Amino acid sequence: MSTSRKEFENVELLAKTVKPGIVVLEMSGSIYMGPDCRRIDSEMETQKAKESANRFIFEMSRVTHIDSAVVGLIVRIYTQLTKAGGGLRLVGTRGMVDNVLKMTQVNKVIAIYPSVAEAVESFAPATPAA
Amino acid sequence: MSDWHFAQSDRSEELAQIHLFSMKKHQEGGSVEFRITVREFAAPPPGHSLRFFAEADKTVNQKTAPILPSGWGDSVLKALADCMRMIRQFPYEGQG
Repeated sequence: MSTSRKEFENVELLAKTVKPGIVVLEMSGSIYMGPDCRRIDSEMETQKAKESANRFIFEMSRVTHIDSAVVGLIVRIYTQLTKAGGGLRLVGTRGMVDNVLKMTQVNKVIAIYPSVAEAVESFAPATPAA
Repeated sequence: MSDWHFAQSDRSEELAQIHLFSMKKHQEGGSVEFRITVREFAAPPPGHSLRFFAEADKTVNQKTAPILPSGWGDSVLKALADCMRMIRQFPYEGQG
């Protein structure tokens, strides 16, 4: 398992490759528009290039606040990954974050799992390249 | 603080003053009107720390991942702007 840690003004990110092509991005703190969103975007691109990942899990049990820009980012990433044959799962959302995802109806589109293990399990095995 | 706040006896009642807005989203093929309701709660609802919540009357991005634009803030302006940002970010692709 490889990891990388970066700290920013509001959000803390920890990326873990749990299986080939599957990266868990652990997030904590409050996440807002601007630098936080750009950092998540940047980390996604790094992991895509470094780990050839197209299946991501956002572990959000320690995220306390998000705004609409983060909801927009999640939906954009979900759309891009799905179109590329990958996917996005959310894990452990609670409190205000869970409420926001329900109010925006994102929870009807993107599956939310109670644990990383269940989210990993939900991904079908990757098809070997021809 | 406005006196209407005192009509609420418990936070769980979620008493709110309603502010109504409309905006037009211009996109290829025409424009569509969104109505946005901003609720000014007497006190932040359970599970929230902010008093202002804005919600659009229709979803966007319907063909790929439909979402209902909304936003929280500590003022009408911030909640409304948060909601409008989401309306601008995603295309309106028709209902149903």
